[in-house]
Amino acid sequence: MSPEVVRTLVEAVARALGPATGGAADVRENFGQALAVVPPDQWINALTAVRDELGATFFDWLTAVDELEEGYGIAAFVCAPADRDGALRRGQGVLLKTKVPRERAELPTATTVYRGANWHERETFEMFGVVFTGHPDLKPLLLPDGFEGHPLRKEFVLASRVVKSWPGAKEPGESDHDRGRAAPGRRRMLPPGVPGEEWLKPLPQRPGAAEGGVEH
Amino acid sequence: MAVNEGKALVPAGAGAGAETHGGRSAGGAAASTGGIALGMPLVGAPARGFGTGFDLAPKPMKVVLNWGRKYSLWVFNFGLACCAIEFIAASMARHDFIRLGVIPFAPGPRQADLMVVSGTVSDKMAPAVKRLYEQMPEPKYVISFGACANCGGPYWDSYAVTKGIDQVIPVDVYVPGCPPRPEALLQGIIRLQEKIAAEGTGSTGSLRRVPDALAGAEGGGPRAEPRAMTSGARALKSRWQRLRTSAQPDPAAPAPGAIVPAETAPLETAPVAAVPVEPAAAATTQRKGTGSAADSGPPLTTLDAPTVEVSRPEPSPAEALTVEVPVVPLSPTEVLPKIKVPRRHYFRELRRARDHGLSLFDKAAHDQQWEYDDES
Repeated sequence: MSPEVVRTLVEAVARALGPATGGAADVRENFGQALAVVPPDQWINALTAVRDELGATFFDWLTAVDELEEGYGIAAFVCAPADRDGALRRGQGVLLKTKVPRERAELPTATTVYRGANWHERETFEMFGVVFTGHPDLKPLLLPDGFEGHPLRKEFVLASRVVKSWPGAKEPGESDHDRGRAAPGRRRMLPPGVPGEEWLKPLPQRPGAAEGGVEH
Repeated sequence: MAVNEGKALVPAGAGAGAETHGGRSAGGAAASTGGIALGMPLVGAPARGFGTGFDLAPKPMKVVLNWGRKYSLWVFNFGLACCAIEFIAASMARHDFIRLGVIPFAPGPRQADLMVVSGTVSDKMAPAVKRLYEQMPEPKYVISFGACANCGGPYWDSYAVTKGIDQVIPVDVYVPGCPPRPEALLQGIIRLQEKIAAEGTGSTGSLRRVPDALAGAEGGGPRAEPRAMTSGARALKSRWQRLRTSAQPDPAAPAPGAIVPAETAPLETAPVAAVPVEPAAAATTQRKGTGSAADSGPPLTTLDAPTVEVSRPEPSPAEALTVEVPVVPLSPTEVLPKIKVPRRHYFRELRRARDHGLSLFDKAAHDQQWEYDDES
């Protein structure tokens, strides 16, 4: 899409989401796409607005990101299956993002707006432990029965990596080829998948993160 | 692998699995040496149910039955990932495993003799694999095809992937590779056929033996439930045991006239000095003490084809004359070596295509030059 098209798209999304969310939505261009960051209490309003006013009636996907002490980022992409006057054109879409706190990972379900969100929310629930309140059937989708824990959370420990070290050389200087040479001074890599104590230490505060609200 | 040291009369495949291992937690050698049974996947397959008729048949008849069985393997492909594509390639015209008697048209597991588990088995799929395996009629065989089915492969650390299908069902042949070439499957099939040909006949065929320490150190038996013996085989076995304990001081020489099926006949015995190629077999008599060399080692996978050293004292000349060690008839598991794929045809074709392209380019440049010459 050309920059003009993207600008038009972002303006249309901002026009629709501004009144729907009471001005709480942050709409901007992001890698050639329209990105809308909304607070969790405006999540349903934003989804309803893009569906009804922009014609984005196709629910593409929904997932979450574990952002440690910043909470869980929830992202959903919806797009328009057909052209509509004054709204999105065919194939154009909106990426909606919100963030829920870690200690209270709850979000109202999007199945009231898009029925297709059902399985996406079930998968996000089992993988990240984010509870979608009001979901008609919030039970695990992919994991086997009796699976304990939410495997895509950062604190989920992979037992195989705990009991067996990572095969091969992770760093320069560890392989047989480098034996006897001085290892170059660089940051040592963490063993992948084994959460050390460093992982759960609070990150340094970024500017703007302390103001509350939704930070992208 | 359940090899009863000293008990030469027990058929290595039939009785040992059902007798010595009550289940997956049996422990075996690990428990006897004080180690902890880690529940690692075990190398080996339990007793196979052939039916009483086969058990009672004389050896030539068994050879014929095995010959028929090994060339009509109706295969059931449990295809779960990219390895299934290689399986399909092996079944197609270029590799064509139908010429080996492997028939890929089994309508389902109930009509299949061989199951090829090709691909990544997730924990959620594992019960389905086990259920379909249980639906197959005896005798049934399993080939684990590819690194994922062997040991988890690149997903060895996943939260969702079963670390080897042999944690669920017994496996006869492991084919390494990620994914293996179709030729590797062909070799795995041939190895399985060699194994089938040797079943119940007391011969080792041409199979390479897996070191006993490797099999014994991992618990001495299959992790999945052993297959039950048929009632006929069980009765014959107990009868032969009674005969042996009461009347026969020498297990190598059964009583004349005693009904001894070929299956339970005493195995061939050989002096120690005569089997230098099989040090592991010779070491069975003292495996309790030294055979657990693999206990403390790293977890073994089929990919690196481990060879476990078994320490074996040199027998004195007098011992070599007197001590007789049973030759273990059949190794149920085979670790396949990697296959070398010839590549020269590929590179020759590639060079030819490159030269052809270069000639086209030269010709085009030449024509272009002529056009320039015409204009000037």
